[in-house]
Amino acid sequence: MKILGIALQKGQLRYSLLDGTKIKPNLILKEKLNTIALDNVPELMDWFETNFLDIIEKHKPDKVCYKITLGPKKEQLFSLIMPLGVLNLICKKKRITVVDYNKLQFTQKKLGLDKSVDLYKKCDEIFGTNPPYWDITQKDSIIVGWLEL
Amino acid sequence: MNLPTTTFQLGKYKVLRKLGNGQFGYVYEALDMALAARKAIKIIELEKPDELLSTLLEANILDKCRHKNIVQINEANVMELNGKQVVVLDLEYADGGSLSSEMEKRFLSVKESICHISSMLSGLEYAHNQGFLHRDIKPANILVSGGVTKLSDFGLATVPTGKIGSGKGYVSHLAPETLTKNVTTIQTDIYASGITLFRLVNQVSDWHSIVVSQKDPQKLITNGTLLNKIGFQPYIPQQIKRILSKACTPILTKRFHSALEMRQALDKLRYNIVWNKNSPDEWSGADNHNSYTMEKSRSARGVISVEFSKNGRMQSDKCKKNICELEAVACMNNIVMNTTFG
Repeated sequence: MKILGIALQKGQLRYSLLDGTKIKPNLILKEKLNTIALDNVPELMDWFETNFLDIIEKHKPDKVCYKITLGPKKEQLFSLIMPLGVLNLICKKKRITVVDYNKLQFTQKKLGLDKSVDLYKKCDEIFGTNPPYWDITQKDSIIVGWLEL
Repeated sequence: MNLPTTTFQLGKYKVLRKLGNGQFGYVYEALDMALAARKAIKIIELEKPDELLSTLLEANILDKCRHKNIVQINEANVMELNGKQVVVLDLEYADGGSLSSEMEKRFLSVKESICHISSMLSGLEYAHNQGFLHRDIKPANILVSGGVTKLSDFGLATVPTGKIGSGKGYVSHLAPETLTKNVTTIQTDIYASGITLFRLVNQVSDWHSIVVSQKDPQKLITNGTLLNKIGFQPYIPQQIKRILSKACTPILTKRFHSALEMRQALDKLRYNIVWNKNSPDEWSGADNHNSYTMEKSRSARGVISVEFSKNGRMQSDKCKKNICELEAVACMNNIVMNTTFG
């Protein structure tokens, strides 16, 4: 099963494509896209629609997962939350299952790991380090996909 | 093919007016009387019956390239017109016309130009991902429909077969390697996208005249030095010049490798003031919260000054008085150049 994991940060869309199993996950690719500026919300949503569609058309995932930010500030609503509504709608239209995760749901138990394991360090261990932009947001996009394998 | 110059009937279509020449055919605005809908139809003469499949190639490609930034094909039919067989492509009608005609009518701001090219690149990237090259990217082939930018005219789109360029004077959009090595690749489409962006931001509507007015234009095109020779408008910001030089470099390793890469470079730009040139002596601008005007004026005693206002209030730090004509123009150009991006 091919899973597309998505994590947003201000001005950036990060995504990763995974397959394999929870025990033996495989990172097919990871990508960073710079979004257009936040100064025009309808244009920004249009940008997200175009790019979510392009990513889904290009990689044809079986399932889409994303990280949602809890308790966003007002500005984060536009850049981190509203685009996920667009993503959900696209997935519904394309009949692709879409699953959301927040950081509280990033538990080791779900991945069959010991509670003491740092998931971000585990990403390095399993997938290797993959610079550039191999940071927490990128790993968030991997973890949400990994959780659904 | 001699087609009527006035309104005529073709099957269910009432053909209203000629919109332009596409590759290997003519494009008309038509009324689809069955649906009471406005369409663009492309009529391609079928010289020999065995050319049917190759004539339908454009329709096949458009059908495989369904993307919000690519003009949509509704259907393709073989019909009879004036006793001859023609292929009729039923296409989405773009109410906003082409960027080429838009440029002739009004000033396109840097932001508008970049937004159009970014959207067009999104469609182009999709076509590339489906395995097709467009090979004829130019302002006349970028349409606006319902406010959405669309890449059109896939008449040359295919895998390379030796047919290059539009043959309509747009050889200047061809990458140097197309002319020297006869190759068309993803990067040659990117080169043409760069030239198109150059034309938009520099407001070059009569491109052909500018190209032929250069000394030995063929050499400039082949060397990849055409843009440097023509030069930029003095208000163009450095950020755009850098992107254009990367899109249009003759060195393939330095050129953008994909439409996505070029689009990302454009999407990353952060705007400050969106400037519009109202006349040679007047600019107006806006950001999210403020409006700006900049005007060159001449007093009764012949003193030239530049007045800069923000929300109707003069900003003395940006105003200039007692300057010559050239200084005034340079002053306005510099302000636009330095305040377009944040």
